Amino acid sequence: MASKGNLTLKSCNGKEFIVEEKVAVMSTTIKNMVDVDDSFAQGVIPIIGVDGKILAKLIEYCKEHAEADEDEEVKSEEYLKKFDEKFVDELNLNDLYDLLKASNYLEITKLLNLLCQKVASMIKGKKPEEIRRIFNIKNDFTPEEEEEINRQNPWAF
Amino acid sequence: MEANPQNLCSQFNELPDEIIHSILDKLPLEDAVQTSFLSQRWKNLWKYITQLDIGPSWLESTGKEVVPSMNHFIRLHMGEKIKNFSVRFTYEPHMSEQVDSWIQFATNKKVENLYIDFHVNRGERDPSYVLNSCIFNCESLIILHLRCCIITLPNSISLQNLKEIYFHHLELDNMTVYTLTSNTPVLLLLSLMECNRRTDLHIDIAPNSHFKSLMISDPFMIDTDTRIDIKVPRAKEFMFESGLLPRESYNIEISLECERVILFLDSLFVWCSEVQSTESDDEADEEEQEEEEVRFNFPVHNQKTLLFEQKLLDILGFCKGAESLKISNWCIQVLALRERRNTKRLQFNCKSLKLYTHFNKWELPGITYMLKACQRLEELIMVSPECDDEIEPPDIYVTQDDFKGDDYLKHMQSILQLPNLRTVIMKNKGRYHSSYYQVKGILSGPLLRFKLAKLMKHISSNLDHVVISSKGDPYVFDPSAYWPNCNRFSCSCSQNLVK
Repeated sequence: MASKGNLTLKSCNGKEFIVEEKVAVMSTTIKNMVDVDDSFAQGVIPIIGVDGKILAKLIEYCKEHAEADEDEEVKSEEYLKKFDEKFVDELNLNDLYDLLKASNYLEITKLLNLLCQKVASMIKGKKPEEIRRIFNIKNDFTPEEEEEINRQNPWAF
Repeated sequence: MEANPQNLCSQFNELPDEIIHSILDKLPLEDAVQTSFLSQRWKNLWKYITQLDIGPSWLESTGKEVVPSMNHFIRLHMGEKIKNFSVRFTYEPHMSEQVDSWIQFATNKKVENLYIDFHVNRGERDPSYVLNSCIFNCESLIILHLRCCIITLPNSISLQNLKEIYFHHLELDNMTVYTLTSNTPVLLLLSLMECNRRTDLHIDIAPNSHFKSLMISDPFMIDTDTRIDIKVPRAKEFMFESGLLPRESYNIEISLECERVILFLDSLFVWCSEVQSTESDDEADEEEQEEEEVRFNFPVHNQKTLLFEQKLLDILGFCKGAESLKISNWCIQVLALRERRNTKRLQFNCKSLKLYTHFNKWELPGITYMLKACQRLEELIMVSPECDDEIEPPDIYVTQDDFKGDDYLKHMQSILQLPNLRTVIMKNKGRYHSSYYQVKGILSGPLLRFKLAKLMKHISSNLDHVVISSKGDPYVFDPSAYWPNCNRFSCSCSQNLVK
């Protein structure tokens, strides 16, 4: 069991992580759980649908940012920016996808924004075929439909 | 990344709508619209974006005109919310009705940040778009940014959430600011840039408990028979930026609560080119060719400087109560001329003083003026600005107002005493035109900063924090020699030690 000021988070595949409360409450979802029901603060908080690997990543991110929020001098904005860049650069597409869903579910707004920004940067300036290839999106339009969309959006191109 | 197994990354297509909306919100509009070609799933997702920014780059990247594009967008948009609505383009009078409908659209979609800039490619033409007044009852609005349009306030205004107003190149009538601030209960900031070029500017802020910051940037080209009246019963910060103080009079009433005052009066060239013609003769000599050559950014003793000086002192006088003052280089140069005449000084309540200086000899009297005037000073920050103009004292200065730098430093040492001064920070962010000064033997730049820092020891015995930071300086301090009691000292200059 976690000592005072710490929370235990349990992934969907049974991995437990003991983290400081200030780190865990970077997630609005967890914060609300702890605020509403004291028993969560004592026991184990199950993180539904998030496996151990992804949860570890989330905690890594929250830890850096929680510490930075506490003491600006130790971790400057510049440091955090570098950390963020490295964090998203090292993700493969599947992790990116899992983290997007997890940070959305856990309401870690800062991280969600960072990840969305990353995806946006992968889309920006690219042609539809390239985007489909990167994200493996199947073109399921019939030729007629495609023509219709072309008609609808001529103003954009 | 492209090596990922297909079955796994196809998951991407199944992300919840809300995440995809958030991704699309981070894309330029043209990229967001283009995602409708990806698949059935993506076809309509872009129609829910909450950020709309159409500016000059829209025309560049799509080749499409702003007006029809905007009208299409409005027709197609399906979301309930437009958080940021930003449009910047060259407005023409015949577009008035369409633009009205955009503002109505933004208001209906609960816009939070409205940014209208109709200045693009208009040059100095006067504003002609009369803003759809529905915006003044837009309860969702948080930030309102208007450039180059006309506002007429409706009888009833309700802007319960508006926090920041930025007006740029607007004509405001006498009651506009008061009426507006009376109906914006949570307003924090009002910024007026280049407003009222040909008429009096009357800024009367309603006593609003949240109000923090008033920022005024007065235009360069202005009718000289206009005045500016400012009344701020509650504010923490007042920033005033102007050129040569061209208006007839400046009347400023700021509350005693105002902690920070920032004065940037640094538009030099226009003013100085006039100085020369004053020198030769008031009317004659307006040859354009010559004007180019005589432009210099240096005040010398003459009627125009005296006039400017009087207005500057008026403004400084209104700011006497502020705890923190930031003053630009031009003011220091003008105050230097006054100090040399050794006439009366104002007294400030100021505890933290920031001076933007190029560390040139002729600024020393101006620095002296301010230090003498701030007897309660605890913190002194001297910064040379990042981009500095090439300054060259004109001949008239050399013959009329010049003095010996080292002698003046001795004089400063003998008249300055600042017992409360504990922190001194000197920073160089600019570059030096040292070769010129070296040739002329003018005390300036790193050497002057070095000597000034040494001087600080004599004017305050309680210094305990000294920071000197400059990449180009050849002088490095041995702190124990100068400030034996100093606890915190940092010096980031080059390596050779000079004592």
